[in-house]
Amino acid sequence: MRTFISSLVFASLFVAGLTADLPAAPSVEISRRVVGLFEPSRVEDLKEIVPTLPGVELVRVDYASTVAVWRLDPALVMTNYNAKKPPSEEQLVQRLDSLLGAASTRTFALKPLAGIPSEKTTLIQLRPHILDCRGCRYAVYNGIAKLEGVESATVGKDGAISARIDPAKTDQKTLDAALKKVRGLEHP
Amino acid sequence: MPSLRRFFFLNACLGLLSSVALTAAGAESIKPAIQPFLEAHCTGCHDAETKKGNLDLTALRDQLTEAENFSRWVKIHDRIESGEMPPKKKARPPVADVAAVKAVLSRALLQAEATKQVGGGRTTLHRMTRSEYENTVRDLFALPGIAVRAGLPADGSAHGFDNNSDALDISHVNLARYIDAADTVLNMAIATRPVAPATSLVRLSLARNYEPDIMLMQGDAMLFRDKKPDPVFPPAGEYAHVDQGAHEQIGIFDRMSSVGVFRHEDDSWNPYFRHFASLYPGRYRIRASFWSLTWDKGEVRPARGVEAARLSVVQFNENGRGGQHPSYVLGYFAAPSLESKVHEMNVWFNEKETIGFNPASLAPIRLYRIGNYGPKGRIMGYTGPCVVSDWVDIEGPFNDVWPPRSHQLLFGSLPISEIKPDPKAAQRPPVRVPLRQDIIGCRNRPETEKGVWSVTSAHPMADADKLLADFLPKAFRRPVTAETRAQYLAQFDLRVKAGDCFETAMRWVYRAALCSPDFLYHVEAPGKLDDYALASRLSYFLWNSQPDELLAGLITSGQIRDPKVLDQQIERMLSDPKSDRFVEDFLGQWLKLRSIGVNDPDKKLYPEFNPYLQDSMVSETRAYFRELLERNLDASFLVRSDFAMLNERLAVHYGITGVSGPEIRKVTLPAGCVRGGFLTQAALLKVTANGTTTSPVVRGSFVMARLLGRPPEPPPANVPAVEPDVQGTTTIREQLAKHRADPACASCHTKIDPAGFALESFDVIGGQRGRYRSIGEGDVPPRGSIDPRIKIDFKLGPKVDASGELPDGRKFADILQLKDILANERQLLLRNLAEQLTVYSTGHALSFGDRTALAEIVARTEAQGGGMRTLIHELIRSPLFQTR
Repeated sequence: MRTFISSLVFASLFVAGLTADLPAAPSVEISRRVVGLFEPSRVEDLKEIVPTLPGVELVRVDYASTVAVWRLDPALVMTNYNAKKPPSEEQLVQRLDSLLGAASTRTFALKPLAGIPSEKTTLIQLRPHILDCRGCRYAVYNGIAKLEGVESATVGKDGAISARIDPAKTDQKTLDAALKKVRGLEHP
Repeated sequence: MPSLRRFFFLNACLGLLSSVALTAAGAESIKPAIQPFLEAHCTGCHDAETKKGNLDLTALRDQLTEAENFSRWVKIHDRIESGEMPPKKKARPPVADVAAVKAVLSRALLQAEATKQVGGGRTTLHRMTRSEYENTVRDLFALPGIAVRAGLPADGSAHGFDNNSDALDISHVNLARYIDAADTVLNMAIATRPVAPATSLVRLSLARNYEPDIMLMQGDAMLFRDKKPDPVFPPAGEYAHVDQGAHEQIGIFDRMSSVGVFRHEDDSWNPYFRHFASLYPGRYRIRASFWSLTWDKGEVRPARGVEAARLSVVQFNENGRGGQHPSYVLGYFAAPSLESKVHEMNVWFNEKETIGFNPASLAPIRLYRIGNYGPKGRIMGYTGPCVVSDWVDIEGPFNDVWPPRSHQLLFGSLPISEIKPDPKAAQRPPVRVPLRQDIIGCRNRPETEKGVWSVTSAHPMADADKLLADFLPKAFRRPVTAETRAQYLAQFDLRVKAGDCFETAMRWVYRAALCSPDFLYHVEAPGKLDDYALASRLSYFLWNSQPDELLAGLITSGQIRDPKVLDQQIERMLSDPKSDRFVEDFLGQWLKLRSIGVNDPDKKLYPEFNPYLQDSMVSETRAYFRELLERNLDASFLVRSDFAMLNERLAVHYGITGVSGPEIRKVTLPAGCVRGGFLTQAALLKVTANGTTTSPVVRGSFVMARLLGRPPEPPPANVPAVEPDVQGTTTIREQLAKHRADPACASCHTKIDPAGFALESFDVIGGQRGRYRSIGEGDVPPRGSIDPRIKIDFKLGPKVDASGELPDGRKFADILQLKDILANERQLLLRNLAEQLTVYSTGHALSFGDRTALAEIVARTEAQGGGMRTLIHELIRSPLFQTR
């Protein structure tokens, strides 16, 4: 018995020693806007998803600006992590975007921080005829959020869309046209 | 006839009787013997000039070896025997003359028939029908749901049944399909892995499906939680939900909400549970929870009663992208008001199958609106019934032993071992196609399988011989000689020498056995059936399949012919669920239930018709026949009874109150009710109509042929059919009256039409009517029992006259009086049923010489009360059944 315990202690020390020799991967903090935050409850959705992603921590998220700060452990996030050749920030962002998408059936995605300052964006208000339904709100949000030049968008309970756009890249007409392409809205 | 001529005539008859007995050909000289009788009473109308009824007796040859001549002389015998000929308006021949002619004809016909049957027997060798084939492989391999019938060519039909030896030909097409079918069976029977697939349980929601989610968006369906509308998914009203994909992405349909459906299945919509497709064929347990409600523009109220939900098995096509339709119905299940009811059943899934759903009791309404098409308010403007599916659980596959029994039948206890890839090996390993889930949307996945596993043998020849010695007698339903077995073993040896592994070589041999005449044919030697043939005939009669081990054991112990033992076995077999196959197969052909779906009733004339009603009709007829058997009721119940087997849908259709729910149950009929007995069951009334109109000729012929055993002559050539008028101007009776003005037509229609006239009280879907429905002229009909949500477009045309007169002069005012008349013809009804059962069970039409034996069966049955169950016992005991 004594021999067995000694062996166990020895083995534990040996393993601990090996682990201590490995350099710990430094965590990386990144900031990106989150596509998919069309109403406040989506923040909660995001917070529910993140703990299921290994090596990902949501430091904070700002619903108004849709900017979220993430802390990533590259060794856990990257599938083929090589300590001698750590991934670039862009590679980490791509990986995080992929993980988020898979965990949320593609209802969350990342995009770069705002291209233009908020004060230079234009607020567009749209009012499609939709039901008081989360799925419908997501549908109309989805119809315009990914358009080039749409910096952010939210949808109220009444279906009212508030979109901040880069006037140099898009306009209300484009948004109206995009909304008409949302399946079901073309024939109310 | 002058007395001297009579003297010579009778003497000639007596002389002929002895000569007939002496000569093998026998019948060649019957005509001279009865010539005086024919000339005195027959050739006045049936000569070359008049040729009434297309019969010229002066030209009719009496060579009875020719089938057509034989059948003509049988008819002449029957017409004289029944007194129909000479006609009543002509002078009656003396009784002794009639008896003498009958005796001459009878002896000659019997002699000719006996000569024909020498060395052959009354039934010729015949193969299994598709239905028998499928049931046989199901029972032999213990694969109770394997589906191979659809892959086999359709069987022909003769004398009303497809198992008749006259209809069961075989061609190279059959053989090619038998090879395919054998491969299908062996693929499913043989285990290709060391352990059974794990049993899993999945709970499915109707919300996440290919079809219902589309309907949820537009208002044909609705989500519920805790018996209330799901707040996350408001009802579609002025606006519908947009973008189904977005709703799926955000998880609206993944919350296991209950799904209430307002829309009945139709041509473009068949909801089914898409998330599951069976990967491993086998036994599964299904549990399903249903309830119902009345939707009142957004409010949930109690349902109008117990609604019905239908579950079916749906086979996926290819990758499952649309186009799925129910393969077969599992049943109709109660959906009580505001209270979930869980139903449980065991089913067999073949590959790529799932469960389909239909709110069966609902009217065919659509609430969705696209553009300007559809009701404006969608579901929020609707008040009406709704059937709710909470969930469906599918658990399985269940394998109580591994390898499965089917595998053990083929390979005994030989080990299943991993075959390591070895390019230098002398034998090729079996080819395995990797299992994968390729149905779009399905979530269950196959288990990871490593390596190739197969049966192995250390002593291949010895093991193969042992396996064949065990398998072949079971498959061939009789002992197999060593020579026969050696032939199969030689094939095995050839395949092994050609490089096949043990399993592949055995597959080759088993496939050959499953395509051999010993398996495919009912092997019966002429004369009295041996014990094996008797057990087989008994089993194919009552189970539509091979004998089970108990019957086989009784053959071995020599007890199968013991009358007491035989009676016990008949009782056991009739009580076994497998006897449902007999009920289904026999009724499907005798009463043409297989044709129930041949035509769809005109939607304008019969808007209340739906598949639920049709399935209920078939269930009623089967349940009624089962009740006749269980209670051993007499033949009068074929046309009249004081009870019916109904569910709510059928009761409403019949105008009978107090029946709730989809289950078929026995219902006592109110006094004066026209229902009760096969004659007025909706199923029979539907199969005798064309979907738009009814014809007394068609229905009258059906009654004569199927219930009374007196099939009318086929219509003469070049006589146009009487087409009923759906514009509501003339009745079919008026049209037939013109037709019958022609004496040539009248002779047959006098017999055919009366029963058909009485059945004019029933429309094409078996509903009782006082007036014909019309799509032209007529009055606005009352709604009656038609669902208030169904639009009525038809009018009420002329009145129905259901009165008539039978050929013997008896008159009836309506169907009730006709039923009374027919019910009193108990012996006639019993004789016909005995004949139908004989033809079905022996695989051959009743011959002239069988009549005596049949009469004995009827007499013995009558002596014991005339019950249906007794009839089956007597038939099986009879020489007709026990002789080929």
